[in-house]
Amino acid sequence: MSMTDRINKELRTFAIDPTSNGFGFVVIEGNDQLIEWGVAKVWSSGNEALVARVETFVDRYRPNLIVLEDVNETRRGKRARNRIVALARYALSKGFAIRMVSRRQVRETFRDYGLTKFEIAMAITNIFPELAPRMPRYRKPWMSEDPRMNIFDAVSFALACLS
Amino acid sequence: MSHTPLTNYLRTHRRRTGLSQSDVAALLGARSGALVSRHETGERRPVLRTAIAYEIVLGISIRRIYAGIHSKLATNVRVRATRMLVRLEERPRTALRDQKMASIRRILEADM
Repeated sequence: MSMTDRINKELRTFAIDPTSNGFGFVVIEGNDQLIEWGVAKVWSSGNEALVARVETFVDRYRPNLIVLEDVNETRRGKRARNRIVALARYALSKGFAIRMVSRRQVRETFRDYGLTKFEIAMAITNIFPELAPRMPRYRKPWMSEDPRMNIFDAVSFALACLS
Repeated sequence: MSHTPLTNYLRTHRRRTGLSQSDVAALLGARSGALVSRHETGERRPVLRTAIAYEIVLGISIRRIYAGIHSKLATNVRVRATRMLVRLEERPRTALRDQKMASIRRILEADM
C-alpha cells in the first residue's frame, strides 16, 4: 500500500457544487466509498442560508477535506463564484482542509472517458453504480441543465482531487 | 484530523439498494418511514430485532451498518481484555487459566 493510499483511506471528502438554488454534493470515504449524495435546495438567495445548510451536512458527516470548484479557472457566473467563495471562507474559518479543483483538472482525470460533462457522468456511473438512477438524460442544445448533473460535477471534483 | 467511522451507515446502504425509507419501514413491519429516518440520523437506536431486520433487508452485516458503534465497542472490549490478561497472568498456571488467556489473546489479535 502506497503512502497516498494510506492517506486517502483516512479521508472523508465532502465535495460541493453550488447552484443558483442550492448545491449538489457527495461524501466519499477513502478513495471509493460513496457515503452520501444528492441535491440540496436552498431557496434563500443569500449565502448565509447556503452556508447554514452546508453546515448541517458537515455536522452529520464530519469531513476532513472539503472540495470545491476553483473559482479562478471557471466560466461560471458571478453568483455561483460568490457562493463558492462563501463556502471556501466558511471551510477555512472552521479549520477544514480545502481543495479547489478546476474543470481542466477534471478533464485531465477523465481524459480516457471523454471530455463532455455527460461523458464524465457516464464514467462516474461505472465507478459508482448507485448513481446510475440519478443520471440525467442526454441534454439537447435547447434544454437547460438537469439539477442532478451537479451531483456528478461534485463527484468529478472529488475524484479529480483524490486521484 | 483522523478518520473515525460514522455512527451508522444505514442511509448509505439503504440508498444503494434503491429502497425508500417507507419501503424499508414496510419491510421492517413499521408504520412509516419516520422510524427509519430517526435510525438513519442517529436520533434513535434500533432495538436488536430491528437491527437484525436491517441486516436482512440491506444484505449488509450489522458490524458494517453500525461501523462507528462497532469501532467504539471494539476499543472498549480490547481495553478490558488487556486488563483481564494482566490479572490472569498474575494467577497460578492452570489449564483453565491458559484457556482463558488464549481466548483473550484471540480478542486482542482479532482484526476489528
